[in-house]
Amino acid sequence: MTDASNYSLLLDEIAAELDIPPSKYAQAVQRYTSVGEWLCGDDNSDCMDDPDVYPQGSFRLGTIVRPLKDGKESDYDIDLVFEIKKEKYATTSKEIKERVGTRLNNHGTYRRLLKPEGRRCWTLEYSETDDVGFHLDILPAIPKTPRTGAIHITHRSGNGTYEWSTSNPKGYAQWFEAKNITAFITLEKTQKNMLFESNRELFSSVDDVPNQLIKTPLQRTIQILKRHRDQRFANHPSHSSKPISMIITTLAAQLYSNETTTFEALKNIVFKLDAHANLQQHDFILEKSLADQKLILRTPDDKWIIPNPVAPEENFADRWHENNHERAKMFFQWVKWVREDLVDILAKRSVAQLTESIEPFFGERAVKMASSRLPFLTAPGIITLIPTNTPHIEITNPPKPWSK
Amino acid sequence: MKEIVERHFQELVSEFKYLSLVHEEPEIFSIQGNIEFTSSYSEEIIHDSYNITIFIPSDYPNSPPCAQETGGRIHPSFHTHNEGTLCLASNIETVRIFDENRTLMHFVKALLIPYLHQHSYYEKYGKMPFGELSHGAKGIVEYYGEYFNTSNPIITLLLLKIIAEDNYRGHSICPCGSGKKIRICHGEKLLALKKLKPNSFFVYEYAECVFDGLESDSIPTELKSNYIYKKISNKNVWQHRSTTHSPTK
Repeated sequence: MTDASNYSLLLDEIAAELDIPPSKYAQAVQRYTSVGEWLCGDDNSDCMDDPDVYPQGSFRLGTIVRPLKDGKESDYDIDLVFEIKKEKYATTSKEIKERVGTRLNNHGTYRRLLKPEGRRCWTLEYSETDDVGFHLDILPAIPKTPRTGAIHITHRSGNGTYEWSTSNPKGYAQWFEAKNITAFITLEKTQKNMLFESNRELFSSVDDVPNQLIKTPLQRTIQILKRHRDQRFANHPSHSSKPISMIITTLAAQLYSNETTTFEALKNIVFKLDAHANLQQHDFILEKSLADQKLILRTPDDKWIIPNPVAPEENFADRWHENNHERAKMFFQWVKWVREDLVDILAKRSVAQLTESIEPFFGERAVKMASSRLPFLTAPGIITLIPTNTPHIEITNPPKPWSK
Repeated sequence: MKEIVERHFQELVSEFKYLSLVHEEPEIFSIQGNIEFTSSYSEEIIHDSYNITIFIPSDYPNSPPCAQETGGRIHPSFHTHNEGTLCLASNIETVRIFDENRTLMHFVKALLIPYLHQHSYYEKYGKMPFGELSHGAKGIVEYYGEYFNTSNPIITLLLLKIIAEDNYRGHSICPCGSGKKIRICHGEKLLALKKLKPNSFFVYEYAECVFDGLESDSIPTELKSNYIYKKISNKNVWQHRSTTHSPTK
């Protein structure tokens, strides 16, 4: 096997280590189903007619990674939309938000788990017996355009007033699934069999394995990218300007061209992102095939646009120009880091050696666990670690390279 | 051949530990893996490693191997052939150096690592410490110029013409202008060159240099050669050239 395919296996194992494990996934589903049932079961309220509860964000997309807090791995963040079927004219932002808060407070356990009110959501903090807990973010919402999945969400400002803003997590998830579907179909059967074999206590049959546990090279790459970002910016002065997950996920999905291994996908995505770096210079014109994809745009008034693919009027990069383009600079700096830390490194180190050198970018635990599952990478006799006597060549009268 | 390759590989892997011998078909071998080295050239020390595949030719060790970088680090515009292998040196120089000691170890140390050293240096400083040859025939003329230690391309080609025409006469006067007999002038260099490749190689090498390697469009009379023209005129490849360049009368 080549170094590239071994390295790709290692990246897959690292991503799996950052991911939510199947048992934890089952627990999360159970938690949010119970919350959903409690919220929907509010018989006394006229506004709770046939509400809709569904996960959104990285948990739904299958790109979740364990977050880092103060450099340590902490609880998983799971986002849930609670969509109440009420027209916008018939209610207010404040009413919707408070209705959900009150309902949660009426439940003995949830009152105990409930955190102080957030800007857009209510958070339940579960600490689990295995020390790996969840933060369940519940986002109260009402429908905006049911056909597209667009919703109105509540927004509480610093001064305590409530407004509406819009979002479309369902539409975005469908868009992402479409980018992912080809690879998903190819991998579904093998991965489900493997997951069933290794988690027999969780699933009664292969068909019982949920689709969300299948991971394509695109999803693995996004997980790798997100954790690399978290580690790289952990103690960085521009920590607050690090690239947001929505931008990483959107651009990666647009650039993914159904590569069959995680390393190939990562390499392709990072190279193409890096090709955009020159947009920081004013008169730079992007190569046509990339420009046509309209991933990252510059406006004549010196702003940046990364459109939300399902709501082009929404700009993920609306703050990139602020503070002398700090967010843009940090984004392209990070892309360079990914390239150096995770892609170019393969040419400089054997897989056995690079296991150690990539530890800082994913965390010691994840890399150790991942490489322990691939014993052949470091098995003695096949590859020995760092040679004590690297051959030394004294160059005299070297030939000059020539080509046709 | 299998035995020779295996023996040479064992020698190579004793120093370059991350290589493995891949035996694809009875007579097709390649060596794959990572080459880690330190190398020094005029004060500069490089410590680096590359992922490399070395292809063993079917007539090994008569012909030298060729090598390809597989880690995606060496850009195709940096002295690589169209098929992706590395241009370690001009063709004849590769043969000449390999001929000093026809082993894989010598190939790696005398040809491959100097090339990789130069690439690492270039990545670091944007310069080529050993210099490089021009592309195509012009670079071949430059190479022979350095080999014969002549700065005039006409003289370089007159010397090469002796081998291409298979017309070495030790007592003739050397075309370099020294006034000495060839035997005591450029003779040694010419004979060393001559034994590296069959005459046909030099016929084409010479023709290419004369047609494409000179700055001017017209070919100086002294470089024209009926012998060369006859040898190549029945080859389609060269026919179109004879109409545009008319090398001989």
